[in-house]
Amino acid sequence: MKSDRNRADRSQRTPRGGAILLELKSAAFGYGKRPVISGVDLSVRTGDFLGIVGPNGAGKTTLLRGMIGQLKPLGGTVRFTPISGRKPVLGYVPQIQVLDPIFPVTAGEVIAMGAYPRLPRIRRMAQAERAFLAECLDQVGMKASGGRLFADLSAGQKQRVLIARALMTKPDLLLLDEPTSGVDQAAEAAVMRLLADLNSEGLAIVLICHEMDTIRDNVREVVWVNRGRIEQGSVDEMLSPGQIEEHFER
Amino acid sequence: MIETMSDILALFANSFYGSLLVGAICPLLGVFFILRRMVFLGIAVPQFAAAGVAFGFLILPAWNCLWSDDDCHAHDEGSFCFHLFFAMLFTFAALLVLVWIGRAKRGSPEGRIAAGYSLAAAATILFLTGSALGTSHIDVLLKGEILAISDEGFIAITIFFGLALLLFVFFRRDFLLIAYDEEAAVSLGKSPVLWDVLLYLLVGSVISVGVLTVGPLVVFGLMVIPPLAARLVAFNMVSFYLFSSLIGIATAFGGFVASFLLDWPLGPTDVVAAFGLLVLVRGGRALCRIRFRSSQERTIGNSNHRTVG
Repeated sequence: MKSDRNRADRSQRTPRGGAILLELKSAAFGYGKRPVISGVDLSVRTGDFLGIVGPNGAGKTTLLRGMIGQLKPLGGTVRFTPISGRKPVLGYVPQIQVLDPIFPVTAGEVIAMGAYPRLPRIRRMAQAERAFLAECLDQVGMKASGGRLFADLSAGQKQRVLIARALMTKPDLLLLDEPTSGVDQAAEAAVMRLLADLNSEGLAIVLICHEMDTIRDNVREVVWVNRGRIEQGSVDEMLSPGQIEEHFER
Repeated sequence: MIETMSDILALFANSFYGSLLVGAICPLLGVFFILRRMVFLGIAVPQFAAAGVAFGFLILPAWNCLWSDDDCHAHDEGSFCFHLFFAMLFTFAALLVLVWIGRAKRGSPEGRIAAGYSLAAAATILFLTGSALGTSHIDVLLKGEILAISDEGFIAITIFFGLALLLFVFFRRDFLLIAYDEEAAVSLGKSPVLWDVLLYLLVGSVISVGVLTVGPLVVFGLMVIPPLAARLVAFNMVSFYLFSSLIGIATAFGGFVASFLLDWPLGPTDVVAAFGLLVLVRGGRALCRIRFRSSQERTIGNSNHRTVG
């Protein structure tokens, strides 16, 4: 029933066609000189909701790291289209496991990191920025949790705080690396609802996810990553039972 | 107490204020050794600085002969700047190699640092044994002669540590972001390599000056133990920085007074004082938790009693 409803929703989703934000042409990314993924031709437009799927070790995170600039392309190009003369702002949500709980940072401090490039060096955050931080917390449903230690939060709450940090950057493009891994079903639904709302407001989203149902129910375009290559297409094309079987058999 | 303090200030003003500065700044930078889980780097790098100082002593006679037409002053102890140069040279070389290999993510970090520490400790002894001043300097270098901080040593501490504090306050957010989430930092346009280099330059300068004035033992002790104690009670990053620095200052102050009253060498006394504070903080925290738990149990008990009633 839920799937039927989502299929109907998907048919109403607006087609791609916004301005290009990020374009990869024949890009190759890897570690050292060894490419993990190559021949990547991919574009992300304003308003896109792109899901990256594939088996473990296929190169999904490597692709995302290439998009954010942590990995320089070993070949090809990664080009951002300027918006009003500036590079599009990226909001990045890492896997929560990479954040070390030894840091005694509060949820509020984590979110404030998103504003670091805008903040004055010496002075405290301005009132307007503090109000925006509270707004971001509110948007992810964590209004009263700004003072809590990040390490003490549940996995779902941590994901929401990291999304709030990404929103704090005032992003043009949101990139998320498995935002639903390690969270319970209710938290997963809350995170995906939040992302859908943000996308409906026009924010471009690129999401790595293992859950095929989550991808099928939410995104507009799917990128399959397998054995260092990618394939891109619509949800119906890429996630048909035959396609999934073919990808996992390869 | 007032008499003791006035005696300390009259006799050892440089040393007293110098050790307070070291106590305030070393823990601030040491916070990043703890957070990045690189505590052993905090013991290895001061040892490399000590090896640099020892190397300075080794080549001092040859250096004097090179620049002077008169006798080569074999027993000249060399200027503060001369030794600072070699301390910094060895510190930055060690940091460069250890961090560069670390970024390549090959092998075991602890193994690398332990091997580096052994090499630096052995080199320090060998350099000093071969120097004209002999092994008498080994003890002085290892214990730290805080009580004998010269005017130029005090000026160097003030300049380098003051500058380190300013830069730390100025760039604290960047240092934190890079240490906490390198990928997010890159997505925000920050260069991790650039900020790491700046942080290690700060750490290297502070360690070099610290080793030359107060010794490697005190530098390592103050870089690591106060942040460890502060981490137990920190409720956010600002409190972590603040508590680390305050515990460092309390350590330096308590260590100085205890050393003066008990006639103990100041370096080891400082480290013991820091450890004492760590135990005190841990004990206080455990006590608070027990009290909190029992008060919670009492509250639950009372509410159950009321419900049953």
